[in-house]
Amino acid sequence: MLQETKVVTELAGTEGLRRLEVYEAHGGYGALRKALTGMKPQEVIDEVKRSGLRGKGGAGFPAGLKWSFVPRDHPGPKYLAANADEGEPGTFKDRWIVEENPHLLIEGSIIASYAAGIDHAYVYTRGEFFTARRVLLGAIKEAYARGYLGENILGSGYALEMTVHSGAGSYECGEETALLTSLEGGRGHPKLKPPFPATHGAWGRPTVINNVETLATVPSIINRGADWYRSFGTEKSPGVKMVSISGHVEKPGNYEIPLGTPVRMILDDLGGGVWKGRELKAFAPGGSSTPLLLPGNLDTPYDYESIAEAGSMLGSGGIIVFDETTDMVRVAEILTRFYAWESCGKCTPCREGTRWMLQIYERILNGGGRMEDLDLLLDICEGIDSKSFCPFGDAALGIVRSTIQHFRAEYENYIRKHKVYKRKFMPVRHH
Amino acid sequence: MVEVPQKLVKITLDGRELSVPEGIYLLEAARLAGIEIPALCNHAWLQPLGACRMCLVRIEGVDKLQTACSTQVRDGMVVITESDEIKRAREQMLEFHLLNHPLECPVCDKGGECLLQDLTERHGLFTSRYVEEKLAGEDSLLNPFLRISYKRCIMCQRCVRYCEEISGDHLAVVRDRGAWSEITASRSFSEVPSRFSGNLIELCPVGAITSIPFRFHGRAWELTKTRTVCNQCAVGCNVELHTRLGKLMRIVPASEPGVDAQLDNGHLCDRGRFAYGWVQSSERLHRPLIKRDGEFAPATWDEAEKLVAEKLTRAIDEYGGDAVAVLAGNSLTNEEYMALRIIAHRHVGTTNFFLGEDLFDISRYPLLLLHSLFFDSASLAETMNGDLIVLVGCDILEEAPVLGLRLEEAVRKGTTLVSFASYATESERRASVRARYPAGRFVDAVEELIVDVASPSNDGKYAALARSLLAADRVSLIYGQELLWHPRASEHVLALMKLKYAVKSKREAEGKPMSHFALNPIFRGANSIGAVVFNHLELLTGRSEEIRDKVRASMKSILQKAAEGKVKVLYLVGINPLMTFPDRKLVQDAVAGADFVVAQDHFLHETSREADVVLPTAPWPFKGGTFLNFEWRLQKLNPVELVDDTPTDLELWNRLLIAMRRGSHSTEPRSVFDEIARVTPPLSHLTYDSIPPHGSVLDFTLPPEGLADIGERVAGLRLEAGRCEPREEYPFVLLPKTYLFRNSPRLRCTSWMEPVRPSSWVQMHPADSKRLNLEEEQPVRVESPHGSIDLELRLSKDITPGSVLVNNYSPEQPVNRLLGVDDDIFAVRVVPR
Ligand SMILES: Cc1cc2nc3c(=O)[nH]c(=O)nc-3n(C[C@H](O)[C@H](O)[C@H](O)COP(=O)(O)O)c2cc1C
Ligand code: SF4
Ligand code: SF4
Ligand code: FES
Repeated sequence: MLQETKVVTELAGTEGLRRLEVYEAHGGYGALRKALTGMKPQEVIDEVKRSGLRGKGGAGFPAGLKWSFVPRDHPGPKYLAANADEGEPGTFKDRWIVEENPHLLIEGSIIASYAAGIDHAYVYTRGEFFTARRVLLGAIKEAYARGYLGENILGSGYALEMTVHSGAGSYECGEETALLTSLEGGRGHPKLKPPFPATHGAWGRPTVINNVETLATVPSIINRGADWYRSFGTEKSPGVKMVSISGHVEKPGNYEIPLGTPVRMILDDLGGGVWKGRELKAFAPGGSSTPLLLPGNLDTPYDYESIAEAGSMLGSGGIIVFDETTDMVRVAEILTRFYAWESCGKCTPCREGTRWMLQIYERILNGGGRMEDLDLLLDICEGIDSKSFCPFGDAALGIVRSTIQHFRAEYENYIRKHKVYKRKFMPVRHH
Repeated sequence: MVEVPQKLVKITLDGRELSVPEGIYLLEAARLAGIEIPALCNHAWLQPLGACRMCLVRIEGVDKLQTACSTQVRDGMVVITESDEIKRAREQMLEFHLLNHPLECPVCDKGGECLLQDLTERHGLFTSRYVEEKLAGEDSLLNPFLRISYKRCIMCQRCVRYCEEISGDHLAVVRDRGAWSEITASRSFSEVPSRFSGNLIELCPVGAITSIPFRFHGRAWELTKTRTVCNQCAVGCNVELHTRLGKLMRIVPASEPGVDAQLDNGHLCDRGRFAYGWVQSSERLHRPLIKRDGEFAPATWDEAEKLVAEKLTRAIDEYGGDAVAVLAGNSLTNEEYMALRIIAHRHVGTTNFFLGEDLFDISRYPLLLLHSLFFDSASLAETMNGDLIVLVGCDILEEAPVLGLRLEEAVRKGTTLVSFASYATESERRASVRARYPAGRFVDAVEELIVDVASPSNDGKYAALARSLLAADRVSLIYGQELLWHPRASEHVLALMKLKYAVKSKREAEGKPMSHFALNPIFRGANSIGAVVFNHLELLTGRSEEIRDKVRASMKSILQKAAEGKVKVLYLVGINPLMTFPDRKLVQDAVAGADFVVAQDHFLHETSREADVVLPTAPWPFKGGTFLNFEWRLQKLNPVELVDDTPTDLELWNRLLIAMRRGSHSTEPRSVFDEIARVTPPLSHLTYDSIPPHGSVLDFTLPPEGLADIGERVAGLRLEAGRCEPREEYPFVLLPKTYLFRNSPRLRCTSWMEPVRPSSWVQMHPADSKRLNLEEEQPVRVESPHGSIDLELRLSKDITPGSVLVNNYSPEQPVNRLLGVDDDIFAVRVVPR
């Protein structure tokens, strides 16, 4: 029976954890003290590099390496943006961290900022995260009062300001450059790269963007060392990962596991297996943007490389489970609607293509599908693929392509029989 | 102009090896090689966006296709712009663009000049696979001139970026997201009018943004196009007049953005672009008017010419040539100025003539003053490539809008901008130093600044400004209406000359002589510089000593003579001094004092209404000739091919001379110009036909005879401080401000300009209004020793306490009722009504 390996979630369930004293009583801010009073910024970076910590927001980029790109002797302010936008359907781990253990995020952010020479850290929270925002504001206030933020932190001479910035509620604002535009007060549209945020980020200043979970992992690595962190996971995907299990399982929720754990164990031992005794039809391994995998993939080790080899992505760690009764065309329609409605509208293929696909899905589900629609959908996917401005466009394709690939018969069933999906209500977008 | 040596890099483009300047984008590099990569969202004015994805190309070693518009060339880059893969990508992107684009090209104003249409023809597939419902939405207004079609918009965001990056007015913004994104106005028009919105019409690659005045007035290919020069301000933007069915249909820029970057680079301001309706308005005069018993009655040309000839002849015969006085406005052509000069001198024999309405009095140090006007200016290229631009008493975006945009472009590219004014303006938004002088005390302030220039490390009041002046090698100082539309204008210019030589000598003393320090006045007229030249042509023809001690006739002196009854016939050409001269009483007295007043004009306006005869001549679109813009760029006007029923000014004058039996004058701008060029050394390399399309900046390299010692002379001149403190009973200094949208006849007689016509208000600092117990929007009376006007109060923190600001062109409440031409400052008080 698989047990969780709790790093970020170590203190889960601790009474009053949101409060600074409680967090401190459990050793909180010890890593900060250790880093600021005993380590040079470069030593922190080196330690995190050695731990192999990879970004947990989706792309899996090595965190220490990212920090080392920030120019050291650059005059003027430098920024950190903690990405708490968490808009990916099926992912709800960052929200747990911010709401239940805000000081862990704050501590990790201060250490990362210290390492990268940051002057001002922003936490960019998703517009709908009302509780998270409130909790975080309270925790930051406590941290200032205790001298963990502000001037001369712990007598080290290092100074850091921290601000919470709430978005207006848009999935695309989680993409790092769109996040920056939104942070600057603009529309959540992504920016051209190069130049990269590490040198030209918020307001044109060097900026590090890290996922909440990534930052929340940092204190443990400082406390217990890179080797300890590396003792979990695989060679290329070291350490642990939070997974959000949702959908047709008995025990949906957030869990933390060593990378490389077989998916079957995660779903059965932690998620309690497919609900109602039913069979598994498919699962999205890393959030709604990742192509579906099938029951045959259940023994795949849950790490970046193995999931990629199986044809999908580990993404943000949101495992969405579909049981045997699921209407996969309907699933594809729902998620396509999400992408069409959330597309920022900046670039043509994503803006036009996602809505076109949605219209086709709506027609199919209303009984008006045509056989050629399947090729048309795949063609539209090809028009978006790798041609849109930011990775959002590609993110919208996984569900369309993988449902057509694996569940073509369900589509054909709709089309041949002019089957109509009985809607309880039809979401419409008013213009 | 200094050429910066460019580093070259080698790239391979479709198998061809090229050397291209480092740092340019692939799209430009391809263009240099004659390869046209399709592009929609990219534009020469704007930063790359990478949104339309039309310009995808393959770069060796990069896994995804890349956008050529946003990828900078790197040494050794190997690029493919034509392949099956790229062809397919282009077809896909076009298909996406066309999904929601209506198929209404036949009724779209953009048809024939639409980029999407062109690209579809070249790269598109002709069948559409889209069977779903297109997004529908109603058209809306961006402002009174611009209609935006939601359906036609392809979301390239060129308009949004223009309003952000260039005009800065944030007029067009995106609302909603995804396919539902919509371009919309960020605010109601009355809040902040935009000065450059018309540029969105050409900028929009499709027909989504269209001109309301032009809508449905003609298809692109049916219009006859005439290249000419805008006549509304000192910039002289290059425009095309589009005519059809005997009417002027629209005005568009003649310059191609990024290609014709000498002057306007394809930008126009909204006044230059839209204020043309007056040409065919019913208010324009087509027949002469003769006043009988206080009422105007239409007359035949014969009658009118006979009457005017008779009056002129009688005045000359009975009282001598000086009994005739001529005043001309500031947007006549050089040829007309030259003709007037010759006719006045030789045929009429009067010394009472004055061209242009910009310098009211030049009696102090005329030679030095004119020396600065003639020889101190810089070209736009020199200014943009210089180190420092200094705006002094000039709200450049109001006074010479497109010049303002070009200066901001220079600032974006690294030139420093500083400003020196008595109130805050939007034009200063990119300035690194914004120094304030007390309203009305410019001369004193410059004296203080000169002290700070001498010892910049002392923390003087203007030390920051002094330090930036001293830090630059190539300076262009641009001064404007706050200094020029003032009885003491010439004193202000002399003060600037003193400043210039103080800075130059300080730099020399430090062993760092400056490369240049230009002084560019921004006058109000399209050809104010021409007026200055032909008033004082002696300076160019080598007889400058004639000017040295002689106080020439000035607008002020002529009006004074007329008021004293010494002028029998007052002949006004294209001038409205009751509105534009800073002393209404004097103009009224002059008009009353003359026996006979002739007004040659297109309209019955404040002054022409007071005339005895009004002679309507052909307006600007129907005329040839040349203008000199603010940088002394000589540009040629071309008449449209329509025939107007009025004579040109040159034709009318010739007919009058014949009627007076005093010879004749050429009616052809070409021959007048060639004659001018023959006798005027700086023009001698040009003929009318050889003036290049973008004109030619006249370059005077030789200092005129006798002024080699200019520096010493300027150092020795004593400025007149004037009486600068307001009197107790009139505690405020009045600032009459020149706005782009002023209520001049051309604006008044263009119906669609109605919404931008300014209302009559006076601006006051809240600290003053509080003291006086006055409130926002309260009706107040502004009073001076000369008279009063009734306005509404507006509160603004842009002006400094102690001063009040009014629009200087409000026909109902003319500000010059408050002014006297001998005033040192304009002192007023503000009382409730
Ligand atoms: C459309 C889109 C949405 C994204 N949303 C999020 C998000 O909500 N949270 C997040 O941490 N990263 C998100 N990302 C990934 C970020 O761009 C970025 O890679 C990440 O925040 C970097 O942090 P990390 O290196 O710590 O993972 C998103 C990316 C895309 C393309
Ligand atoms: S792919 Fe394009 S439209 Fe879609 S979210 Fe990114 S930039 Fe916006
Ligand atoms: S209105 Fe025109 S310029 Fe503006 S986004 Fe639409 S197509 Fe582009
Ligand atoms: S022109 Fe390159 S993306 Fe639009």
